[in-house]
Amino acid sequence: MTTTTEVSGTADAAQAGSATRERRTPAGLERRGLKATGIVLGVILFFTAGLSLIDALVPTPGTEVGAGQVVNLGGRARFTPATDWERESKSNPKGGNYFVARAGVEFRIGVFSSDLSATAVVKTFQGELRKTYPTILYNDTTTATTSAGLSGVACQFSALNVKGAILAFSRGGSAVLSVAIGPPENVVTLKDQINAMFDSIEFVR
Amino acid sequence: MTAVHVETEPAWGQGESLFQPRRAAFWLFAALLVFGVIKLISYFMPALDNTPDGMAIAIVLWGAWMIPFVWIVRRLDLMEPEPIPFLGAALAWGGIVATSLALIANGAFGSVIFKAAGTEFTQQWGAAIRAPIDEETLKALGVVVVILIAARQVNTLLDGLVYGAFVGLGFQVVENLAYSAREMQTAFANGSSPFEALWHIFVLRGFAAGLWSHAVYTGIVGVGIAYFVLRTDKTIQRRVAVAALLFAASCSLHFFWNSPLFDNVVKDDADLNIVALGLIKGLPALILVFVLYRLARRREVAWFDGALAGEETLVTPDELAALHTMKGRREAIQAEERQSGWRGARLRRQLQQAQVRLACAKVRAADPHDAMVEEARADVRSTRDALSKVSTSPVSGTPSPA
Repeated sequence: MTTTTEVSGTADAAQAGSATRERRTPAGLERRGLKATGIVLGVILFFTAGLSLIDALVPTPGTEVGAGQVVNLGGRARFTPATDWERESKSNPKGGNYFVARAGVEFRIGVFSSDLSATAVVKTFQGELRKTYPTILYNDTTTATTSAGLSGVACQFSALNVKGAILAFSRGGSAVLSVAIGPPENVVTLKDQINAMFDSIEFVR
Repeated sequence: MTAVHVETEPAWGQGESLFQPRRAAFWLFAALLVFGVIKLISYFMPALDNTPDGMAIAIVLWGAWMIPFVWIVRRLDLMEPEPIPFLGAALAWGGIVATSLALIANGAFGSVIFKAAGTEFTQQWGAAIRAPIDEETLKALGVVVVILIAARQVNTLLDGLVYGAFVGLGFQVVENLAYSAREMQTAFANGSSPFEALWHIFVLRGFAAGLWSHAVYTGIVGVGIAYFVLRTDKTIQRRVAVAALLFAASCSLHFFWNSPLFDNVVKDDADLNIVALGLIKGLPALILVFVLYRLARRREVAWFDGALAGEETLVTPDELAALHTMKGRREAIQAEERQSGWRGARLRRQLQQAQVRLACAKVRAADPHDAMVEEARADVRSTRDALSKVSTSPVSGTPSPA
């Protein structure tokens, strides 16, 4: 009787062991939950590699800015847009306005006649921007000097879903107002190019 | 009285370790955690280099900001508090895994939206479209992975809410820290004050946007996932529909929050406008999660009462009623303090904890006379005896010596 039980027990154990092995992968992982884990991994791959691939495949609208292209703004100021940014159709360089964009970030620049100081230009624009983004918060204005020695006033801002910076210059009855604005993460990613565009601004006369 | 339909008994107290090397989900979690840490270190490194003081303050500030939320969410699950390692895992998924993956997904998705719809549309609606889809999905996967690592940890709908809320809270805190780092970094580069930038972002995201966002959204999704996993008595179609509906509700609320709709309710007062915006856009999510909490909690209370049925000598009806809510427990402790001083209050708290452990032990053990249950009963008795010695008034339910 004892022997029978032992044999039966051994057989059960062997069967259980076999069942356990069947429920495991060769690497020793449990098969239960494996499919669901694979689905989780698939979703993650879609949101990372998949979306990046789709982004690479979708062409960018607009006209791509050529390397080193200098834009003359109504004969009063000029700047150099960053390479790989797209010129937007609303740009009117002869009228003194230019818009370039990349990854949802827009860099706008405009030159106009004004007797206002650079600080006053920034303050006026802050009020305008607040109408579009009521939750916007502005940092204190600071003095900014381009590598060409042009001195102006800068201000960063952040709202719930956008961030950016304003930079204004004023000289001899003309003012230049430039703004970079876009989704926070993309503004950060493109900050070097944005800063280079700010830095390239200069008055023509 | 409304009948509470109980389909599945929760497996309270059936603890599992977070370390599950035989489960693929564990290794996926571990690998993504390593990836996330590396990704976030590289993301935060410039800010750590340039404004180490600012980053230290930001970490302390956001860490402190999180404490009351952790306290509140943990207390939602009064009947069977979830094990700290699993709550930590949920927090880590939200704060490290989901945020690092969202950094990649948000950038690519935002760029696709820009290419398809242009700059102005992207600035106005980009965040409203991409964030609910990729962030809610990546956070929801955190609850799924916790279940895949240790299914027995998610026993009730309330557990799904708690784990979801922890994933969301982790995401929210690290996202806020990322925003702070960005702002301080830009401020540093432009020569303005990083501390002022930090304060701006703390006000904006900590209060205007932070009181009910990711924790609430993922809490809602967590209830849906728990429903899908636990309510096996329902048809698969119904389980999928409920989970999908709650996911869609969460995405819609996130979309509404990120959209420019109702952004300018109070035109002349920016501060008041932010408060109004928070109420109009945030309150619906809070109301939904509160309703889900009430429904889930009602089921949990029914299980709790069932577990303690027949234990009236150890848990009197008044004590049982007090155990149902945080307020009830607190009032009982305060009443004890008035009667017996701080020692009595401490023992009353210990008695309540012992009674909760008894309920968990009874649910866990099939046999009501199991050694584990007897041990829990003995614990209640000894605590009650200690309480009766310091109490100036008779302690109700004190068992007579056998």
